[in-house]
Amino acid sequence: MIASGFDIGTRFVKVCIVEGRNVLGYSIEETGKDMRRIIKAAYKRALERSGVKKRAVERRMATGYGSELVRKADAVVPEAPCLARAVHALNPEIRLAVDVGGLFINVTGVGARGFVDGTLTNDKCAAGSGKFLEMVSETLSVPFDSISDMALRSNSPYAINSQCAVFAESEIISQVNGGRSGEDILAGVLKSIVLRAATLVERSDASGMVALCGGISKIPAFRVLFERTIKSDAYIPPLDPQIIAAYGAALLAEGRAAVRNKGSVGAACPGHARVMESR
Amino acid sequence: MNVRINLRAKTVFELKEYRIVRYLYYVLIRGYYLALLLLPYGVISLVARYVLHPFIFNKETRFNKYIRSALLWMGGGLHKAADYRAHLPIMRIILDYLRHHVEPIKNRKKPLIYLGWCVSPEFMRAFDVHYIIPEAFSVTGSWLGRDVSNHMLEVLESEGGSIESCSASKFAAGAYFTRQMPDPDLIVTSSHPCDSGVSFYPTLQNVTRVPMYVLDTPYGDDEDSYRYFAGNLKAMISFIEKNTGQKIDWDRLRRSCEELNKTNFYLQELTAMTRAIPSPVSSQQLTVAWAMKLMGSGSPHLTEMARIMYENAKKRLDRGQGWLREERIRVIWWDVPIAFVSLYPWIEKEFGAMIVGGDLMGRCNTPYVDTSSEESMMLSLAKVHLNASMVRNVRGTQELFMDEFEQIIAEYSGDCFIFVGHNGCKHGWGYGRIKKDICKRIGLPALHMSSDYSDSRNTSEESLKKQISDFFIGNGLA
Repeated sequence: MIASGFDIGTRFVKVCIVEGRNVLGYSIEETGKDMRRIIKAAYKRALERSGVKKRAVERRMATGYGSELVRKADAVVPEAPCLARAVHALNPEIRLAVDVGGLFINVTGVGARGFVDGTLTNDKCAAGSGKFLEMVSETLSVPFDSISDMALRSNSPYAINSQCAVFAESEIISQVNGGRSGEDILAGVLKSIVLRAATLVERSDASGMVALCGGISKIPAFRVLFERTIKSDAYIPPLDPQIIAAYGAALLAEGRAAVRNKGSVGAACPGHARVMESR
Repeated sequence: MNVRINLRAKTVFELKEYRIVRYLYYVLIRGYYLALLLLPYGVISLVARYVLHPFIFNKETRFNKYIRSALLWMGGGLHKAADYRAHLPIMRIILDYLRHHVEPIKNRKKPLIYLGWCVSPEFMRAFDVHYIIPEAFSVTGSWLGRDVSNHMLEVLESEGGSIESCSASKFAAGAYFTRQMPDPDLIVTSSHPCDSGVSFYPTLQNVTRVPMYVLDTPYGDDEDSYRYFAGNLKAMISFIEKNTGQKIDWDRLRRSCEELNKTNFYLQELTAMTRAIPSPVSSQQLTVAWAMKLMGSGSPHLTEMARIMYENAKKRLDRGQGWLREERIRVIWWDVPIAFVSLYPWIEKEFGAMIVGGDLMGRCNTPYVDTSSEESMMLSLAKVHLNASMVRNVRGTQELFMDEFEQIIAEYSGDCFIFVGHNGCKHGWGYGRIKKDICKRIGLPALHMSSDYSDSRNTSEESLKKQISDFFIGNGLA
């Protein structure tokens, strides 16, 4: 079965087309004013890349902040089951998926069979998210792609005192005007995001391998800081980490086939029950 | 006397005296019984599937409210022609039971006993008495639509009844306060399954001013407990004898127990058959069997119903055929949603989901009654009482509940677990964390829904369906 998953995030629209567990194609588009058009364009691009006709897609599943905007979705699901299903399909040893996105950090426990085993998310606040990093990079006039290199060059990351992204931005401007280097500020911002994610990981009380996904996990410096903070190696998915939720949604769209195929008829029935004389 | 109460701001709902019983007895059940007699089962099946199905399957409206629930209890148009044969004895059981209401209303010749729903009606068959199970109104009351059910509950609450009580007890009291059942001469009940029931009956006694006997339920699950309870049953018999001036007919009790053994054989076979993949038995059948057992335990009609269901299911099992054409999800379900009986056919139709392992009520796990002597019969009936649905699970330590839960998970190959929470069931919610931990350990996705199985005011049918849909889809089961 060919299925598609839509992850409509706060910063990017991700669409993934799968057949079985194989990714046929995917696309990532930045969000904008006309969301429906962007979703349509992202879907079209994903279809082109996968070489699949629209009518060949049997089921569509949507997740994420704007999931309700996907008109033709067969169902809308929360992000947690999508993350759990995706990371379990990629590596069944994973017990925790950390998704650091544009506005949210989602930490999802993954059971041994790939089902959700508890979820945690950060407060609805830009201070611990990709949007915050974008704001800071714009303030510093640093291209987003250069953030990682610059942060890794820092010797004394600046500890941001403000908890709110708006106040933090003012604080950063003050620091820039005071002569603080861009490297230290960026490293400090990354560290504040890492600490928020690490706190959620700690609260989750999960033991086992941790998978890191979401757009922010594509920044090498973030990965390094995250692994250093949680004192363990993180599993980086072999796919683009940004499309993991969309990939999971597509796997969920496949439904039963993705879980397991039902076995033999009557195999579990030993025959007849007997009238029990007592318990 | 007509009870009038302001239920909603704009309308005044009126529930006439004995309205429920009269409607069920003279219209609904007799009408269905007549249809079963006059039409061949294939025709019934076709009519149910293609004519009534769309009418009853969607939400309750003012056009279908008087028949929707009743027809959903009868299979919702999903039964096959062969299984409609079982409905003939079902109608006989309901009609026999309703006679205990109708005859005392018309002309009272025999004593009338209110019987707690966890006390075996077999004892009543051994006396020349009428018996009414007040809690059965939670089932039969719902057959007339939600207006009627809600009205009964609200009348009770307006009389000062506890909102937190089990809604089955509230239905029973509501039925009394709205004059849906004639006044009793005696009350016989038990201290199981829960304290909600225990507190309800003294209230009923207070308003009816009749003698009451309460069976004292032991916590334990050993021979001493059974012997203690058998002693209680003997005292109950003496109580009934003293207050009715009758003597127990041991032969009639023996015959009832022999029927019960036959019925239980078939029902336990049916319960066990749900272990097969695909399951040849519908959860609806087991739930209906539970409700019929409540009304007609010890009746030959009940045995006949169970036999027909068993034989059809056995044929399907032998052919390797399931109840559903394609069984996609196997659900372990706890607690029967009485007010939301539409959920069962809905999940079967919508998701190809099959409830296996039985729900709290439908899972038949009743010991054999040894009828060789009066003594052995009493001891066996003590075991029957203490192993009845709910009673076996919630009367003692949590192990009684959890052992069965783990056994069901191990034996019935469920893909997920759904607990239809019931507001009044402290036990069910009290075990919540333990159930979750067990599911987590096994890796079984679990859904705990906050609702009330008999009270649709708590959570709507649509909301429950939405939660179930999200759960199935979100876990990749559908």
